[in-house]
Amino acid sequence: MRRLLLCAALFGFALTLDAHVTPNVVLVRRGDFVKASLSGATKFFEKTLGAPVIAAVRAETGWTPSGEDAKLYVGREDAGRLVGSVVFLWVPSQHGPLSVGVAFGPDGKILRATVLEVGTEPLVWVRPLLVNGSLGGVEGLALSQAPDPSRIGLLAPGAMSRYYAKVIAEGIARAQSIEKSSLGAAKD
Amino acid sequence: MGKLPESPFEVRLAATLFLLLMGLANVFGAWQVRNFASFTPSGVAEAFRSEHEGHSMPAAVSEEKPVDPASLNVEQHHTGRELLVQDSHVHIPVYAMAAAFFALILFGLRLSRRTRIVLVFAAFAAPVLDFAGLWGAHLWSESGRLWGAVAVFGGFLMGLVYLILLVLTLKQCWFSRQGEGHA
Repeated sequence: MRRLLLCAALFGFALTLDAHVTPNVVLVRRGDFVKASLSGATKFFEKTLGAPVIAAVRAETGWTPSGEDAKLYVGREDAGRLVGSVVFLWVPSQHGPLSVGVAFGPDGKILRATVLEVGTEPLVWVRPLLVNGSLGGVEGLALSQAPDPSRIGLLAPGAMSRYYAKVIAEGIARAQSIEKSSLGAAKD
Repeated sequence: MGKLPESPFEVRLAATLFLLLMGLANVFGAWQVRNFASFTPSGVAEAFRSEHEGHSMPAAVSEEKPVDPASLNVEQHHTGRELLVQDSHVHIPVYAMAAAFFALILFGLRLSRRTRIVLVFAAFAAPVLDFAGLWGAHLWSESGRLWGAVAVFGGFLMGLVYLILLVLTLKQCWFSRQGEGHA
């Protein structure tokens, strides 16, 4: 009986081997970011971007949003007035992709930006870029103003944090392009 | 070849502890798979599907539908191509080293040459199948379940090699060292 139990336990070990992919650390949850960034909103909508918007983003950035990236989360007041919108996207880096969230006001200016998810390895370089859960140096930027990596996490030392500031700035620029193209399409 | 069972105590101890520690690592590996991937072909296919596939063409115009922000908090772990590239470059070398260490221990056990060859081949084929399955599920989602099955089979094959190695090492190094000839 003891041998049988031992064999069963060992077989359990054997069945456990299968490739897995390293999960990210969740710093901020998406829903929490939407609610906190668009605090005046009472109604929320998921906006799936149409082909013309995706084409405009590709033309501007050379990057094609994936199915998951090609969405906006829009907040409105009861009367329907736009409070703002949020873009989530994944940005590749040498140590795996990181998820960036950018909230825009109705005029397209950045209300808040943050890193939502990041791998365990780059976490130590990304965390110093965040102040109270947000990325400094990008708030208030208009859609025509590209984020300056040197202003993101001004106090974060080290080459790797600076590298991640560039990666994040690239992600924010892509989010701006999505927002700009989406607003442009809404006006048409 | 085949001299591990007659090796000094510390050599047998090192080989055995290495295998037991690998077993412990496997337990956490299984936990990780349960949390972020799947043990079933269809689960693997879904977790590794390309984000550009499985979606219809983008709509001509943007569409808006109500959403509850709380629903966005539900974690939907999905593996994009960049993450798969990154993990392939990390995991495949580790898999290769594990297979190489397994092979070294195999060389020390009393086994027929044919058995050694089969087990060595299986130890190195398993990670190839595993990652071929993951990449297949990612690149060709229409046959994702088939590729998922390849990945799961590869993982289980590595587990089987480990199990055989552990049982043989425990038996030959600690329980039946006396009076057995070399194969």
